[in-house]
Amino acid sequence: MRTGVADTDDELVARAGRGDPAAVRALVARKLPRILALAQRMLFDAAEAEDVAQEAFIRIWKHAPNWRPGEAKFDTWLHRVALNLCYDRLRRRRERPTAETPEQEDTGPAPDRGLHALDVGKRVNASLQALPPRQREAIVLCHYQELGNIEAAALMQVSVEALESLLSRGRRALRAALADLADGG
Amino acid sequence: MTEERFAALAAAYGADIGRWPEGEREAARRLAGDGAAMAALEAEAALDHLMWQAATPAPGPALSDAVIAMAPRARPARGPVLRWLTGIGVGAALAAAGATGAAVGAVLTPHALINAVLPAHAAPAAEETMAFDSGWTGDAG
Repeated sequence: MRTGVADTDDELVARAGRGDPAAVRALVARKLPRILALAQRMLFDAAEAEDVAQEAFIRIWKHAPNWRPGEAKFDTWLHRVALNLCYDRLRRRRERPTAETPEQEDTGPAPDRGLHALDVGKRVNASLQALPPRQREAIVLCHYQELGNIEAAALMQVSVEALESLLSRGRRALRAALADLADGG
Repeated sequence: MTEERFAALAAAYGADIGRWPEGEREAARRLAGDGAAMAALEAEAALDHLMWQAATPAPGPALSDAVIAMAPRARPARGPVLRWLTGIGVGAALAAAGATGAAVGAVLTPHALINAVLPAHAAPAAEETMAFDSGWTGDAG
């Protein structure tokens, strides 16, 4: 029952699959914040993001006993699982146009409130939410999830060139939306 | 690397060259001291800084606990005494099953069993029960 910071994902998954409680806790500590953040930035709905994180872990626990190291990078596989769960929910939203969609945050500046970090964060999140989905996805994977370009492109099933185009356009749109903040507000 | 390519990479990946495509980092670092390249990096660094202020909530303890509760559990290890006792238990169960099977087989044929649980009109035809019959030995032990 050892668990050190140097444990690879594969080692943790294998031990978690054998029911090692320390490995289970370590894997949850390592991956749950990451997957929750991904789902939050894809869905902008805290409850749905938590549901996605739970469903992703159900799949982890299901596959852990039979996980074969080296066949796929665990983190990439997990992102694929979580992204598919997010896509499912986004698709359901589109198919139910009358259903309530998460409220979009005010994207305008807040001159009377001052530029506290919380306000800046809300502005950035609102601008991110307003991006076209594929641009947002590219930025979430590369910037926030810190995936490599080849990995992100593979997850999005686009070429690296197409990924770079999505990233550039997304960042340009963010810069325009946040211009007042970048200038010192 | 051209200045245009440097600017394109900065516009796509931000100011941290360590996060640019691996094969282009070295050339980019050599160019990073140039005036135009530095200006591009500064502009992207400002946007990077803003973007990192969009925090997401950390998982609460309830979510973490729920996820941990769903994890696989190790089968409890059994010592030699427990294994021995379990062996006796399995043996006894098999013996009991054998005795019960023999007794049931003595009084009930497969057709009798089927007819006992199905209404008359629903009883399967002989050919439908053939496979069932052929596997029946009357000795479940």
